[in-house]
Amino acid sequence: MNKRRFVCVLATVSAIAMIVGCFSLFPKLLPLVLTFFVLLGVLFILNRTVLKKLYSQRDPFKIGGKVRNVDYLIIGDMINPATIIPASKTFVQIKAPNRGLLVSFEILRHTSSILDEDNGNVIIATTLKNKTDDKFSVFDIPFLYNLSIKKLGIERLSKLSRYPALINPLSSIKLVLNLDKKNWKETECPNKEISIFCTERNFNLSYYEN
Amino acid sequence: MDECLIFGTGASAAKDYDGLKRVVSCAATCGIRMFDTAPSYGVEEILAKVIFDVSQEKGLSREDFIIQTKIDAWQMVEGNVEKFVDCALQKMKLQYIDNLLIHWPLPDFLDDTWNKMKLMKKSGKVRKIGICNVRTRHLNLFDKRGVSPDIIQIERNPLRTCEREIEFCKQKGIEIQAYSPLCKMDRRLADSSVIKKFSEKYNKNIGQIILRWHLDTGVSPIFTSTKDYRIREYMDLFDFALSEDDVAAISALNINYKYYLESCLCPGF
Repeated sequence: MNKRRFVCVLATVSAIAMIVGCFSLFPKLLPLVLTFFVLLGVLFILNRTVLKKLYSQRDPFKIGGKVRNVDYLIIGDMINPATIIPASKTFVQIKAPNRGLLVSFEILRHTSSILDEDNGNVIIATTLKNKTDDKFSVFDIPFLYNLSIKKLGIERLSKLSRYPALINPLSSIKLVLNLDKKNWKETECPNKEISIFCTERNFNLSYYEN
Repeated sequence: MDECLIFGTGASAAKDYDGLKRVVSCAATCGIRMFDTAPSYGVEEILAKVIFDVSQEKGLSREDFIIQTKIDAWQMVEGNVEKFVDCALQKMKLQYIDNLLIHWPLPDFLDDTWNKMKLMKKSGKVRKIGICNVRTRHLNLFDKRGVSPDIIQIERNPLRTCEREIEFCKQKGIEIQAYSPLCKMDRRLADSSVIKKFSEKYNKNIGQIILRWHLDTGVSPIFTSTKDYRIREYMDLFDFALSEDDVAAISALNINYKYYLESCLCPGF
């Protein structure tokens, strides 16, 4: 039995023992205790599902991966790719609720090599209120290099990145349920650095705002 | 420098003294004189000791070998690159390093690191300096800024021929080295009918054909092995050469496939 499984089994057994103990000593507390453990269970499942979703977004970037030279790289907030790119084109999407423009740029700096070098397209999607937001979230950590995490001073956030459902339950639910935002409008990218970055690398840049 | 085979000590290489000595000794016997390492491979010190011991056994001298190492990304970020190189020289008990390369060209730290490397070259601590993992875009930019590497080392194989980079470097007289020269024997190469055809034509195996392709296109491939027979096999390349048409046919397999995505290890690439 590996360590993780052992911890899970131990936690379950302890929880059951606590419930039984509570029931014996304080019968009136039982509904509260049961509710607590049910919520914990839901949080646990939500956390696992969110992590799975995040890692699946990160999967194309693994060493030796087969996904390469894609037509589109879509980074930012919850946008439905079917509404912005032709069906025949290949794409990779890195999305999370409320991801800001500057954070999206940092992720772009880490992931741009997956694009077709001659005809790559970058799409960044952020909401109006997150246009100038440079606050990283637990959903961004999987896409950042460890030296970048250190440079950006988000090591503490990095340690919490295994518990996204605990840190940000509402956004976790939105991510898991794939709740894409609507009413996106294409407009000029307000950040000149991103435009320059893409031009230097021969990428076309599209920016969507909500 | 003429193209040659370089023995690498990266991820799949032996990490202990005995294992490394066995393969380095075999490589040296077969005529390989150039050895590539990096701090992140964790074998700099052992490699230097092995090379020293092997050179003593075979009656060779330090000057007969080319030791190549790198400046890793974390060292660039910490700065004080000269301290790391001095440390490496001390650990490896060397008077100089033949080739020192920047492992990943982190944009924010490149200029400072390169300037320090130029000074080290001037002082004789390092004989040649270079950069790994660059594209033509970087080389053009460097050229405009007067940065002229002696060597570049790039991921290159028939699925990723880097023709623009090769052309640029040939024009500028820059040595080109290829890591992952066999693309980890990707199935698209191992099962390639084109390469199999040449394998039969020249009576060499697929690895030998691909390594010969590197040499015939002016590139020195870096290979790794823990097996003596493989090292001997890969050195058995100098009794044939691919024709121009054969080289072109292999180069036509290019799909610009990257085993390593540069931006993941070098943000801002």
